[in-house]
Amino acid sequence: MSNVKWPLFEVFIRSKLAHVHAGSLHAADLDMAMTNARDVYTRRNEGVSIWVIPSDQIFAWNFDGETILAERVYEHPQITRKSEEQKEAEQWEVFFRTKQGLSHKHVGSISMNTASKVIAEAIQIYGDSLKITNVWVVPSAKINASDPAESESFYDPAEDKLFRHATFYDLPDEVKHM
Amino acid sequence: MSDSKNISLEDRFQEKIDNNIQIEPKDWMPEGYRKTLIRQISQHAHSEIVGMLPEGNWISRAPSLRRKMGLLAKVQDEAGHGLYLYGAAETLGADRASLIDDLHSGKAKYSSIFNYPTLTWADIGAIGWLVDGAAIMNQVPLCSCSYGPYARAMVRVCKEESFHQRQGFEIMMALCNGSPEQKELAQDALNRWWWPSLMMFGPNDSESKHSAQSMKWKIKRFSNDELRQRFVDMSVPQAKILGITIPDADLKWNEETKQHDYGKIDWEEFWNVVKGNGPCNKQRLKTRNKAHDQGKWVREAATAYAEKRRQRNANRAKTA
Repeated sequence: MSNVKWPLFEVFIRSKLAHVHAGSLHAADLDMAMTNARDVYTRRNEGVSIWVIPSDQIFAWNFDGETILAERVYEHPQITRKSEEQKEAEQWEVFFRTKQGLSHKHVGSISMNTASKVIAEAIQIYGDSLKITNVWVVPSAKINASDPAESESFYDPAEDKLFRHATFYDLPDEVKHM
Repeated sequence: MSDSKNISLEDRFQEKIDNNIQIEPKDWMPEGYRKTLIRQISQHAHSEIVGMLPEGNWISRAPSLRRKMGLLAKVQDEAGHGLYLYGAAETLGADRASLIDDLHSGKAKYSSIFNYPTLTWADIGAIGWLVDGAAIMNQVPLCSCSYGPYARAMVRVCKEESFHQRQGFEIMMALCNGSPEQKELAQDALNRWWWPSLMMFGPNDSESKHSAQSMKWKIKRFSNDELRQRFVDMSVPQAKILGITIPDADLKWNEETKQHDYGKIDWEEFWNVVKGNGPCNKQRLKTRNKAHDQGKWVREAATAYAEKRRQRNANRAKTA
């Protein structure tokens, strides 16, 4: 029987301008999640920066025209429904899904004291210029970001693994589409 | 009242699908769609994980460093693919630990191709060429399936899968252009892996129960027979380039249909393997359970270290 229940984390990768949601993974803690994220999602140097976020820290809202009520990101047994607490204002990062089929993409930061207010403000600010189908928000403090100062050593192992690429394998012209 | 509301939700859901608008985790979906997807995605994930075993068998005996690196990287990718897929299943509310328990107890299914043994090094070439080839044939259409997270996982998988097939074909090329004994090895591997690869596409459309609903929901884009035919037509010229013979006396080009006609599949063998009586079913399950049990200390160590780190950070915060 699987007796270990590690928390779930969402992984975001930035290859050019913004962090884009790549997928999820389980790890014993945030630090181990970061190393795993590097090994799972950037084996072929797909990105220059990784953000790892505990799934249960992300608040979500689906654009269905009703009142904004921040909910949990998935209906998952390990992600407990949180009630929003009134706290001091803090910085939140905002991610939008701008079309069904696309991953969530980071758009910017907003300072507010509840998730619902952040979502409402984000839609206010970006809603005209961007089509939005779903919003994710998370307190910036909950994000584990890969250290840019350590980028070289962090991504170095993937640099010389040419055998992971299709072009490494020599095939005759007749099967070049393979 | 609630019934008519549900009907309109179903209609709106089906309309999205008909209009190629993808479904995302927080969208309303029929319970049947959710359940079928969890089953399909988790079976796919289990297949990746169990698929590591027949190939892992030859890592220590790969004939050169180049071959060893390629095979290690491929098997590592399969683990990664399993992980992307478990992740996609979790967006539907499935709990990964339960999915893995079902695999280990024998309750969950995985692709029956992985219940065949890798008897020689040439099998590794045949698997990369044929089994990954068949998988690609199945996975490329799924990149536009109706459920967002599954489609995106498939895009990620397909990007990595290309090297898998090329690696396998390169091995077959080396063997087929080598000594007569090496070519014989390659022919023997083709003889043993050809028909099971055709069976990977599942039963004939007429026998496939869930197909119609899955096609309507666009979690299956092409029929079993359609994909199988494409696979045959793709593989025949590839076998010619290698200079080995596909073990099917009935295989021949049909000028009318512009396709290859092929022989009858032994469905008795297929169902027997699916039911658990293939050459390696018991061995695969035993190996998976053993790996899980023997890896317990690693999970416990990681958990203990996480707790130690959490306490250290909490103490630091107190004294700060």
